[in-house]
Amino acid sequence: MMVTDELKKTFGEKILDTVRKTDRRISLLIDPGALIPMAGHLVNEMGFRFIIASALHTKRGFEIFYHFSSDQTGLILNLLVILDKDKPEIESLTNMFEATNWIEREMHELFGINFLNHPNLDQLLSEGNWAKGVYPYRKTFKSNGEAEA
Amino acid sequence: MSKQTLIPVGPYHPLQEEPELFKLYCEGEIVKDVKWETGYNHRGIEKLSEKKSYDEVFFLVERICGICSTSHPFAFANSLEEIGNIEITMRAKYIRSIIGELERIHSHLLWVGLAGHFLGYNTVFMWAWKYREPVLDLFEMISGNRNSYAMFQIGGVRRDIENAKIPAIQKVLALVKKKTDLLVGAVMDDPVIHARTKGVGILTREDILNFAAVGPTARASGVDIDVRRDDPYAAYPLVNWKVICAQAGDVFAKAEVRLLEMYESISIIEQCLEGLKKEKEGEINVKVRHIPEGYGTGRAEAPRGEVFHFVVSDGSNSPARHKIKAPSYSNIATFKKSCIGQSISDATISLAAVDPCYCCTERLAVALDRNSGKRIMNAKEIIEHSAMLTRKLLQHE
Amino acid sequence: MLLVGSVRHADVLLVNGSINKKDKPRLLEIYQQAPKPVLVVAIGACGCTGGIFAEGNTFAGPVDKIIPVDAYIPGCPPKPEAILAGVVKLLGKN
Repeated sequence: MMVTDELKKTFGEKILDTVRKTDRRISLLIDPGALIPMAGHLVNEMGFRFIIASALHTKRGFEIFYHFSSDQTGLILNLLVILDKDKPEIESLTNMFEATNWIEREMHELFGINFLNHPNLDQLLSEGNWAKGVYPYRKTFKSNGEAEA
Repeated sequence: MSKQTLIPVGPYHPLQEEPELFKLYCEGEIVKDVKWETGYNHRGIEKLSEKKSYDEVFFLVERICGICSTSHPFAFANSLEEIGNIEITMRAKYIRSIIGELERIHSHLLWVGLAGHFLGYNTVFMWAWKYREPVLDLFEMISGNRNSYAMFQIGGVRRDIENAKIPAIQKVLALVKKKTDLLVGAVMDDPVIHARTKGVGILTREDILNFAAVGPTARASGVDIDVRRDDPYAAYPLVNWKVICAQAGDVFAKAEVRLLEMYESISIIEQCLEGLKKEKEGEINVKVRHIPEGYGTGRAEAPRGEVFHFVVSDGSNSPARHKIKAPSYSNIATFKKSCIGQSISDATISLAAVDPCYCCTERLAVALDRNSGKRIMNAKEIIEHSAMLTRKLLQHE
Repeated sequence: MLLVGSVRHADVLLVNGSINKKDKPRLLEIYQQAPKPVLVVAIGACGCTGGIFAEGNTFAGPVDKIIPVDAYIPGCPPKPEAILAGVVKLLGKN
């Protein structure tokens, strides 16, 4: 697949795993440090569009799928990062484009993930809805790794 | 006792003084800064979804938004069918597209009416909403409800559109086409509307790409994207239609795109109805017993742009994670570019031009003095201010 | 039936949608501003019971937990005819 070939050429060892569900649905597990250069490359060099980011809290830690669309080909390319379960943080993309501004704020509010150097990590949804310091989408995990209901 | 009873009933936004959603900070007449306050409608839907079975989630997501109610189940179904590699029947594909396009028509008509209201053209408002009614009646005939149609289920659709119903649908489409001709004539050639909307609220191509905006908002600035064509689903690859684009990126261009899109929607539905006649009645869904572990991304082109659902399945009957992105989430942020530097009246129509979803704009806007923070105008006054400007222009006609 | 711009001129308050924690103080404020007596109508499943959103983590309703309600019009959403019929029935009683 041309897209993944080009990315592998430029980012090689930063891509930790590739999952190709179909030619139009590909996910790359990447080193969090590579997010900024890869996202920049996808949007600025390869004409991708940022759709949205989905955060989830699993026994692996805090995972974020950054979803990108290649509108010319219908491809959705997901970049997946796994962040530390005790101190989840990653560099903000918002200094590069506006499109990630609100979703990073939202992920911060709901999951407590810190987006470093975000221009304004103010509350988006929560004021009045839940207390500061509470991250309602976090889960608690039992010792066997299962999520509590 | 003779008591005058006043009850607030529609238009769509019952205008109240508090709370404000968009705070327009002004120096004199000019908007210098805009702040958007939200959270009033946050219902915790993504988390709720994890507590429900997949079948129940369809009912949940179609209530995210009253106007683009179908696009969410559409995208959700696409994501589940991707996880399970499920292929739906031809009849189901046609029906899904018919419902999706009928929704686009009624949503765009609603927007045209609202835009008319913000400009002070209340005849346009009344017309557009009047000719929306036959479309809503069609929905009631097909699904039993005027919105929240409960037509989608995993593996297909819940109700058939029997061939006997097709003539009634074609009749309404013919009516809508005629009335759209009227609306297009009224709006696109009116010099006052030109004066109020051309050059107003401009978003450049670069703005669109920076904000990753979608839908008519993007297409009006020459960014040629449409999920129905780019990542085809349901019956869209089976029928002939075109994506409507404009270049100017102003309010007029956004109106133009929405109006012309309605003709394409009508054409898509007509072709799908012909397709339906060739498929066996009743074959509307395939049995799905289980969603395997994995994740899926589903999207649909809602009237406002791309709706995106991401579902993570752990093999149980409920989503382990369900991420939902509505198009307005990407589009509303563009107000930072389109409103600043405009007059208060122009700012309102610029905000409306993005067609923010009702859930996001229950209480529209307020104008505040930038230096003192004192309120200059509330939402109702802003709209009246805008209508006054139109009246002034009409007097010079 | 006339739209009024300010609650201070209203005789009837129609409350629809589910009330979340951020809405709740606003609803109370509006109710307090309304000249009494005012009739309150809870519209839709969300207004009556919270409907499908009642289990959400931001839910603060239903309406009758926050302000007194004189009439309930169920439906999701209630058809326009249902809303009119409900309001007419309420006025008939008063």
